[in-house]
Amino acid sequence: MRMPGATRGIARAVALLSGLGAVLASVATLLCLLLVCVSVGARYFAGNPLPVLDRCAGWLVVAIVLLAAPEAQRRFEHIGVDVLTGRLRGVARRGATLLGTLSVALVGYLLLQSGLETVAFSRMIGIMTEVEGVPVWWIQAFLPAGAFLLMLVALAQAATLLLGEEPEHLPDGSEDLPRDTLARGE
Amino acid sequence: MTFFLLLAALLVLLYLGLPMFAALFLLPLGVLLWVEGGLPALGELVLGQIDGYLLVAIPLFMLMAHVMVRGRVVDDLYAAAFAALRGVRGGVGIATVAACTIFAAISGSSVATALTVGKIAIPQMLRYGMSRRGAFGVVAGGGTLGILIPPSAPMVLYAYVTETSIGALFLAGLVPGVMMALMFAAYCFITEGHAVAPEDAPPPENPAIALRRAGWSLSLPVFVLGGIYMGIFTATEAAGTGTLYAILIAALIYRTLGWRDLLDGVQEATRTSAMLLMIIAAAAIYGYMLTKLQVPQELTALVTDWGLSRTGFIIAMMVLLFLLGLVLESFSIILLTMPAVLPVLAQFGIDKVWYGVLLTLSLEMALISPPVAMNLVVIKAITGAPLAEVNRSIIPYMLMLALGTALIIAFPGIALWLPRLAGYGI
Amino acid sequence: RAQEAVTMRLSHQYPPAHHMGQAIARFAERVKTDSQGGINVQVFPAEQLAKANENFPGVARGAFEAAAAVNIQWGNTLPEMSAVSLPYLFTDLAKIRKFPGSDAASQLDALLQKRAVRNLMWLYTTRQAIFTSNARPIVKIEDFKGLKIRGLNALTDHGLAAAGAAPSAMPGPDVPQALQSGVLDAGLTDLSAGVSRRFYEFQKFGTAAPYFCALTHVYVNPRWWSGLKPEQQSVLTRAAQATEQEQFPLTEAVAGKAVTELREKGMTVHQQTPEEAASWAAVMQKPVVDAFLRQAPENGRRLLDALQAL
Ligand code: NA
Ligand code: NA
Repeated sequence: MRMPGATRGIARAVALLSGLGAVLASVATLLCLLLVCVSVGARYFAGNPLPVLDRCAGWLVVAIVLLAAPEAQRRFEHIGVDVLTGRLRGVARRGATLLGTLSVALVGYLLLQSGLETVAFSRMIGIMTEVEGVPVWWIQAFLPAGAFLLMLVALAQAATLLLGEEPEHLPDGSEDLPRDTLARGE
Repeated sequence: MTFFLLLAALLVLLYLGLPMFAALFLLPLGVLLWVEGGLPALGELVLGQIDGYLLVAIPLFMLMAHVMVRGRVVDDLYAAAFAALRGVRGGVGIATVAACTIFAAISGSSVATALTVGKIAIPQMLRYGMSRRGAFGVVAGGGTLGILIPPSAPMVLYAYVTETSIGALFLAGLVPGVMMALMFAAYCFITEGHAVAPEDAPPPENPAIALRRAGWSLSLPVFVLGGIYMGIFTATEAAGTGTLYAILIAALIYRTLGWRDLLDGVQEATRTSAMLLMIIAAAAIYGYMLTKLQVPQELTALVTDWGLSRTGFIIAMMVLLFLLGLVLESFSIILLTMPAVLPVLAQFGIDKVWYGVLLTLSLEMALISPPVAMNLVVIKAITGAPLAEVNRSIIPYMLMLALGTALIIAFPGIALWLPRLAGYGI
Repeated sequence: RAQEAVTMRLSHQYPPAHHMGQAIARFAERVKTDSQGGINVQVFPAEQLAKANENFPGVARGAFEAAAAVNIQWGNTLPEMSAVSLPYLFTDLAKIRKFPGSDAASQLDALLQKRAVRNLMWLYTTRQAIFTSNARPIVKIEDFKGLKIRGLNALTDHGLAAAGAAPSAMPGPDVPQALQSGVLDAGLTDLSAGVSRRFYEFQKFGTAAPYFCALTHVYVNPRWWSGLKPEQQSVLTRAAQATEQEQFPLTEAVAGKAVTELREKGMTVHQQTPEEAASWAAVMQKPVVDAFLRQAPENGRRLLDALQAL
């Protein structure tokens, strides 16, 4: 798996960024766990429910989705149907993978653009959350950020494929079980 | 007909290699661009879908499952079930069903159930002289209980999409789950009664000792479901406190979970949640397209034109779900059908909890119906058996699941009795 | 002629059978008749087209033309909208009847205009709440001490907290079981919603109180509106005014039936006396009004004065 230096550098930089996103998202998951447990504790032990905690836990979900999705893409983990593509070999397989990564890049681009519009609109109108003093766009900003990262990751994968190289983590069809069946509800 | 055309178009994209979320995003956008000449406000649609307290349950349940699998919290379960049941006629198979049932009550996943129980149980069953078909079938079939007996990841998603109470759905799955388990056990009793301990089998373990060892892991479902049932927590809170409880058991009592395992589990659960939630977000756009194209109205009209009764409609849906289940996995089936079906349910006054249980049963069938059948892939992965042999093993289990579905259609009380008792207004 | 027909897609959250869902459906019919088919109001009930909190951005940015919202849903985005819902402040039917077309209404219309939507009508939704519980009835203000209760929103929670209760926010689908099992001790909802959400199945006691007023309003995209012909605008305006007026007796009738129906289903319903109402108001009103004025420092006072003057 040899790549030209520039491509390898870009791929590594993108991997770093998407890894950072995944770490932040993992912190969000742990915070979610913490908030929910504290919220239960506050109700039972302090007799004082704290609705703010529940709202914050809801926002953390937004962070989890948008910051971890790029890393899932980098690992080619996103859920799909691989009965057919799993049986392809050679050029056909490359073509299918390229189509997949390009479609993700397009989604990333569309989400980036609409995410920026959404944030701009919310700031202009001054839409607020249910928690006093917190504007909605603080949470919405995860959308363009995550979408941008998703687009970068997918573009880097597509570029690698077009150069005739193998992107990292590309499944080779030898695995019996998909990498995370839990995400398929199975 | 629009609905079926759209489903077909989506399948084509998926089979071309597009990830589910990308296909669910791009197809509706393409259609909307073509029909309306413009795109909707994507940002609001996507964010509106994923920003909500109800969704917090998803990463938490994912984390709980990862902690329990990594912490090997349930490794002793099969040993305990086996110790208790090895003397019974067909006992080695029935123990597998029992272990699947208990594991199902802990994990939200059928694959995790089949994988964990199958690894230990299949070699044991074969040693006892069960037929290969019988041994494969009971793990594949028993494994599907993972999503019917709560907690269940597909039920969490269904509850979110249809705005049904997660607690009510969980309780509604319990009795049907036990019913299916009893049916599976009866089948083992009848067909695999010839299985006996081989000459060189070690002396039987004292069941009481084995059970005591498995006690802490058995307390987990009691904690989670009891907590919901007794009204100590909501389902989301049960996921949170249950995860904490699982971490404590695995780290402090079984000492099977180190920091490294925990952090890996958190990272995986996070990515898993992100993948699922991306699909949920994309499904918002798909649902928006269906609404704009007035597909629910069309479907309602179609049902009326055909003069379908409530039961007729349910049966037609079960057939459609079975067909989709051949080629798609659980979450996609829920997300692709519910936006169109929900208004029809309302029209007919069909209870969403009841329908949710029926849907889950059809998802169980999907798990063992080839070509896309995850539990069969699990058996193949564990045993290396040819897929054709594995495929044949599940026919009786398919039939039993169909029978179970028919029973719950005929007697909704099987599913609804428990949630009603717990005070859910359904 | 068909090619000149204008489409107005209207998104709202009510089920079609809800009395507000029916009001909006009647408005659509009326517009269709009055415009002789020139304006087609396509109603999307029950969050079919957009979730409740997506309605506003959807209309403001022109993804669809119109939406309905309950005044308190504006929350911190437009805190002034909660003015009519402050506890015991604006629950006299004679006053509420005068609200559409009033100075107070036009103050709110102007605020909405600044938020890039044009208000079309104000529909009377409720002026009574029901406080429900299982263990014991909530009659005296002291009965709130230590109760875990699901309130209406963050703003009015200040009043419940002042009465000694512990307000919690919980997603709607979980509420029935939480009330049944004791995760929550008490519920609070609009009186007629107590019937439609079948609170009688899991709550023994209810206290019907003139606690708050809620208005549902329909707003449209301003650019779409100014693109309409004057006669189309006047058809819509007249239909809106007629719907506003006919809603008063209809909502009152629904609320009137609600108490009887809850009692028939076995709930012990106490209708709050004026004396009890006064003692609750004495405790609950001021903290909420203070919080309201803090959130709406510029327009809050003027708005409350205008409501008082009705
Ligand atoms: Na389960
Ligand atoms: Na299948």
